[in-house]
Amino acid sequence: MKLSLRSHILLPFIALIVVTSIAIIGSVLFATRNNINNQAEETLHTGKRIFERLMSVRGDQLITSSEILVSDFGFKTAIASEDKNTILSALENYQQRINVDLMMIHHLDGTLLSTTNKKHPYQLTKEIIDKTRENGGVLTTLLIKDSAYQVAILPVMAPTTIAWATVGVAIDDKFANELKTLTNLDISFSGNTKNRDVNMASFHISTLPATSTKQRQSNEEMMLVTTSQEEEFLSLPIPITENNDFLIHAYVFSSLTSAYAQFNPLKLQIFVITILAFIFSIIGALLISKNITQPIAFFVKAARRISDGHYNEKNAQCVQNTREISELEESFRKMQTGIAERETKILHQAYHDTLTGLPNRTQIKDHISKLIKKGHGSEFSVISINIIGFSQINDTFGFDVGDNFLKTFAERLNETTGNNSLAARLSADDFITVITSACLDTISKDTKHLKETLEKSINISGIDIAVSIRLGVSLYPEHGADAEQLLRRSGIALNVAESRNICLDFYEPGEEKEHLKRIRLISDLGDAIKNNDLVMYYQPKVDLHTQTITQVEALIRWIHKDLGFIPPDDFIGLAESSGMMPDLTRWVLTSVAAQAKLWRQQKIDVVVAINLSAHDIAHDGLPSFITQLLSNHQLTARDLMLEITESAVMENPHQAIQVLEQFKSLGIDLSIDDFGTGYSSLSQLKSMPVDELKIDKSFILNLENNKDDQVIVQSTIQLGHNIGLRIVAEGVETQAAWHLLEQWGCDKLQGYFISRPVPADDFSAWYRHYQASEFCKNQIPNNLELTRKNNI
Amino acid sequence: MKIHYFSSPKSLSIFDGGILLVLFFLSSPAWAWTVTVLDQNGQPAQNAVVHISGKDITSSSTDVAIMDQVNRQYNPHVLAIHKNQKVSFPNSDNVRHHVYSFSKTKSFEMKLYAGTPNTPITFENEGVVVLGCNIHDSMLGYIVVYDDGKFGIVDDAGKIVFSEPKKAVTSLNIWHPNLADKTKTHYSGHLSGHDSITVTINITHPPKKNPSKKNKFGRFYK
Repeated sequence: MKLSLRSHILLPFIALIVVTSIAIIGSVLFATRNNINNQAEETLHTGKRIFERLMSVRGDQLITSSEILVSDFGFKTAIASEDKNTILSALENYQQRINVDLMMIHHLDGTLLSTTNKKHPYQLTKEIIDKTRENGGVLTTLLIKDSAYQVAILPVMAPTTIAWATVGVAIDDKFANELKTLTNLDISFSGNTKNRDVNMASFHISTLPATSTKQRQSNEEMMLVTTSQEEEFLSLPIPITENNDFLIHAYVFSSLTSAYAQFNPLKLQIFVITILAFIFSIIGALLISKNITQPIAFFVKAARRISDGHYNEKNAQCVQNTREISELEESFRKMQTGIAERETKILHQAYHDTLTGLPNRTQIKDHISKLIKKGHGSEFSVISINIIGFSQINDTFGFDVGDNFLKTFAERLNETTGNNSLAARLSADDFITVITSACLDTISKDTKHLKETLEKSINISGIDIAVSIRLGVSLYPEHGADAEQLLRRSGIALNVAESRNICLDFYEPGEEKEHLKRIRLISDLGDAIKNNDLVMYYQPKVDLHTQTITQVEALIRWIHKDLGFIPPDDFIGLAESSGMMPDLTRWVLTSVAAQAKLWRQQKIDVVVAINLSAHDIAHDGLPSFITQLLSNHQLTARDLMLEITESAVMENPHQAIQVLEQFKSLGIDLSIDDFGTGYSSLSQLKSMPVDELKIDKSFILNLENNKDDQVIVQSTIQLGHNIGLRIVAEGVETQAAWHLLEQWGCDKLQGYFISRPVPADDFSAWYRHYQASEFCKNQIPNNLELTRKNNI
Repeated sequence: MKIHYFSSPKSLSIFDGGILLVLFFLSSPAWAWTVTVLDQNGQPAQNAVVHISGKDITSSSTDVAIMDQVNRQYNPHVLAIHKNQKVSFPNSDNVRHHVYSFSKTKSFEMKLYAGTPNTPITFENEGVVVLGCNIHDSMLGYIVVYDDGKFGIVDDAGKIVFSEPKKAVTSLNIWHPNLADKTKTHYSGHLSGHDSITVTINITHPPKKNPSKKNKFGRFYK
């Protein structure tokens, strides 16, 4: 799928905006989260410092009050009294007085002497005692059962140490809440003893609801804590006491959930800003893409108009006026003008002849069509004009003169035909003009006038050149209903005039049909040669000396699949004029040679005579072709005979005799066909290297009735015999003719009385029968009669 | 010069918590002999009390012993007396003192007085009495009460001279207010040999009290 330009612009834009928005929101969220975490950590560290400070202050207060206590003489006195009740009552009294939560007195060895926490007796460990003794007192935290106390342990000096006094304040909810108020952080304490000794205890208090999970942050002292209410806290453990006996930690908590909640409005703002930026960017992108695509759409439309052929109309001004678009528009207009100019030029060339500037065939055709369309029974004539012998003008004076001649002629033609008509040049020396005439009668006058006007000599560079033209005329509406037909028929009329060697010819109905048939035959003949649609017929010649068949004449036949039998005279003329004669002759020679070879194999011993045309004689390669052919078919020169018409020889006697000599030298017998029609002189006849004369059938067909023919034939036979030639008569159709010719000493007879031309197979059958029947003088076999009758 | 210790069948218990020690004496004429008491660092153990006893060793005194208070200190720091001997506590300072003792040997108190009190105090029981002053916590004094034998406090060089024949001495005890290890302060058996005996004892010096009360304790004991 092809994306529109707008999409091409919009999509990257939107993608960019989306990516940017996501990046902004992402980085804000990331920064916020980082910031919150950092703040929370900062808060926790601050909380830790406050906590430690508070613990320290509380410890100092505890130490101060404890010192005062143990220095009190009454207290010492009470301890020294060793009366347990007295001591206990004294402890309780002092506990109230200095407002502490725990007071204990231990013997020097650490065993309990008295305590205000009667439920949970507690012994001092040796470790603590040593420390106390060493430092004169310690401030520490003690785990007593499920409570923790910050305690000061001091020696009771009287004046040497007589006992250990422990004064403690509880680390309890109250304390935790107090810390929470001061630090604004949730706090929890927990601790437990390490050993299962007498003092075993564990302890937990917290300002938080129950926590469910604790998870140490990676590489951090911090911990992530989630309460049962799904609130998230960051927590910092603060070790309070860790010794061999127990471990107490405080934890400060900072709520991440509520910290995040503080950022919610900010996040909302950023989100809204991003969405707005997104929307405005999309609108902006749409506007930009519109600004770009609108002129493009304009140009697309303009280009379509141009492609539809509307070059000259002024397109609407493009709405946008940026520099590039204006330049493009300007170029577009230039292109439009350029195309219009070029099209005009091309059109002129398409409809006009470049040399003379006259309209060409296309335009004259349009002109005729327009005239016909106008109708109203207007008559006009289409006149084809050919300058006779123009090629000689070119050859004689050169092409420049020829061109100038044509230009002058065209000008004259244009002037002559005037405004009411049109003149055009079709090819080198072929012109055409259309003359509108009021009535048919005037045409003859008009054409005569035209001819006279055009045939005035033309002076080119001081040379007077005579002009001779030939005209072919077709008339509307008599000779055609459309322009093409009228043009063609006017041309046919010109051809007819040419062939008849006359100067003016009007088209006559039927001429076109004849013309078309000729054209069809020419095209079909080529196919016929290729496809072996042609056949050879054979007509025997009787040797009157032996009464045997020694020769056959091969005759070509064309049975056209649509038009039926085509006379050889028709298509051979076509073959000559269309240049197919060499092909045809080769086909005939090859076909006959193959047949002759077959007959040799069948012991049918006849010489096959083949007719050659004037074209064939002019063709140089024929003798060598025949030599090759004979050797290919294992034939000898004696097996073939060539017949050439007298008129063909007479067309170019000198060349003909040369070619005949070549055939003769090959050893082929030659015969002059249609003798008596070709104006040959006796001297020519004498010099021809021929063996046989064949008297034209026009002298034989009516021999028995025509005295003149009898004289001509008899003298020709004598003449021929006298110069050493054999005489053949063709066209023998009656027994009377046979007898006459036999009497006069004619050598061979050919004609329908003996056999008409038949296909090769029929001839083979006929030949065998003829030989077997002992055909003899004056005895004409019945079957021959029958055959002849059937075949005619 | 060294003292050789080895176990002996005879032993005597003198003080509660006392532990037996054996000391051998070299046979020597009955003239004066010296006991030198050194601490573990080889320094004279001042205020050490050396007490010898034997069948024929007796001494008594009916004099009123003086435990003076000079410059907010008891003077002497250690006073050794006979049982039932009286001790007077004159106050030589220009401030008043509140002398007291919570010791079981003799518990008493003399509230805020100046000058010499009228009645000295009689110590009826043998043992150690620790003296303090309720007003001045730094004041500390000891009175050691003996029932029999002969005793004396070493001089600044840690020496004390006895004239009783050594062979009459069956036990020798050393007491010191800061004794760390009480197992090596009691000797029983016959003394003999050299005219001089050197005894080494372990004493601990009480921590020096820091004048600033705030920093008296470690901040936290962790």
